[in-house]
Amino acid sequence: MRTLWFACRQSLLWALPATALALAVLWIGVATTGTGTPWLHVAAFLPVVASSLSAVAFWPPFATDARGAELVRRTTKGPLHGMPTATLGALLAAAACLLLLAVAASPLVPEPRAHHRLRAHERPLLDDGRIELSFALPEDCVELQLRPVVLMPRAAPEATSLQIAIDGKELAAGPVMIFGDRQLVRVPLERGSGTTVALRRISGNLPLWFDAAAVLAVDGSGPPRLLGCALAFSVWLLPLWVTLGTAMLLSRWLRQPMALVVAGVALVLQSLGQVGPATAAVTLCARGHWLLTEPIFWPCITSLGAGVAAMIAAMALRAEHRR
Amino acid sequence: MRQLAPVVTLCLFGAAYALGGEAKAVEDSIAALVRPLTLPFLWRSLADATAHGDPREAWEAAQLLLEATPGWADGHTVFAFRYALDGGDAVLPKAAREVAAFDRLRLSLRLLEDARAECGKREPQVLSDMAWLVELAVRNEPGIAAHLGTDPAVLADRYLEQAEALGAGRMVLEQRLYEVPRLCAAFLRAGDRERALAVLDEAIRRAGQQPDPALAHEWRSTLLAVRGDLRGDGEDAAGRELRKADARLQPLAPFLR
Repeated sequence: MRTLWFACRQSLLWALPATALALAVLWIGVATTGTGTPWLHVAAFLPVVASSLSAVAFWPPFATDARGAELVRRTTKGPLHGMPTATLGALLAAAACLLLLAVAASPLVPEPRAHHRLRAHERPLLDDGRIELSFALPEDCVELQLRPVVLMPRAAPEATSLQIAIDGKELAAGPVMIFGDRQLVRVPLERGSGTTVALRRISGNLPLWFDAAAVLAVDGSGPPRLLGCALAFSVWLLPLWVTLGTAMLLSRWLRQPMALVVAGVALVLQSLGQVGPATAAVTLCARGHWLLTEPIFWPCITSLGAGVAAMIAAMALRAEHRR
Repeated sequence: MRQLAPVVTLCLFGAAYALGGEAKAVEDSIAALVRPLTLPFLWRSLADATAHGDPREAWEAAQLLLEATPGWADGHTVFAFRYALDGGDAVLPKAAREVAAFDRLRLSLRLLEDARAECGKREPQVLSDMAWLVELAVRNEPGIAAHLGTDPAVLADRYLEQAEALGAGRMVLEQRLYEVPRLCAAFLRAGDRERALAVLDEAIRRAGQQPDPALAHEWRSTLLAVRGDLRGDGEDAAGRELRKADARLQPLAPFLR
């Protein structure tokens, strides 16, 4: 318990100034550019990197040459010598800072709405062979978003015109023109207007492929903005978890400067390289998506599993070393 | 103590902000300092916004990226074109769609206008791209011509004229030369007959200087015949009908008599 408290306090000592910096960056960035998304990423990154580095710098067993490492090894039980507890402390500190950021950032993002991915009843291709596709429409939808993949036609390309019908009733707005690949078309709907949406090709020759994310139905109401923002920011704990798991795994071979570098690189790879779900979560939040209906669940489980696997491997290696 | 460094920095900036008379300048300076922090995230954000976000989001990410790379002429052109031409909302009512399209064109042109000075040798190219952007935007959404305040052909030619003055290459010169019927028609529609004829005379003079003699001769004689029709002294009725059917002279067809 004492280790947890010390680790959390030490991480807060690093993460709180980083959070203050993140808030300043967010405030200045949004005030001067009028756009929030890129600044949200930077803001979330700063306290997480500070917590990660503080845990590695503070708890001696993360490095072979840290001052007091030998003493800690002798006085702590378990193969990992308190590293999981230090990790938990860092996670708690980062969670507190991210929550603070979520409160500050929530006015900058739209209200979260569930975006349901609609799947066609037939093969999702509109071309010469098939001129109509239908999808089941969830209740309470207020918007339909179309973003089809445009394929090459056999003849000279002509923009495809689509008539949209809800339960067989054509929309008053008239047909929409699709002329570009992944062109976004937003169709406002009346709440509870029907249960089936049909897309009928009425002119043009561009074949349209409706993949999994090509037809989205947006719910009319959703959870509070703060909840959506807090959920998105909390996903940033996963890269921290994986980073400290990796640091545990490599702690037997690394001196402290190298351990810090490894922690930093692991975090950068997961955020900038989008290996983990953290940046995607914040981006979706900034677009007004409610994360629980997004396919971000599996990347989260993968990150969680990677951290656990690294920790188990570290335990196994340490046990082997002891023998 | 090292942990306090960011706090001390913030306090210093805060003090500068509070004490300084030019709050906006201080804010801009701080923004310039922190803007590079977003750069690593921007490339990903931009690609993601293009594929999954809406055009406005991609435009905002692109602007941040372009602010960090002011001399990147091609980048400015690509993002300006993408926003102006692909960013429309197809289900808006016609009038709202036209206003939105005009707004996007205006912002895109302003982006390119701001980028011009930083593009050095590529400045004529940026101006030529601006001319193309006007033409294409009007072709996509003809209703925006009414919002431009001047005929699209005149606006496009203004950009090309500036590009030419900055030493643009043969491509721009020929573009102006072969676009002359549209420009001429724009002046005629506005009731400025004298300027329309002056533009035509200049094009006839330039056509004679083209390096390809056959092409130069054909275009020059066509323009001479058009001038005759416009002045009302063309007597070749059969030739006039042929010119009315000529795809290159379509903008002028209503005035050929």
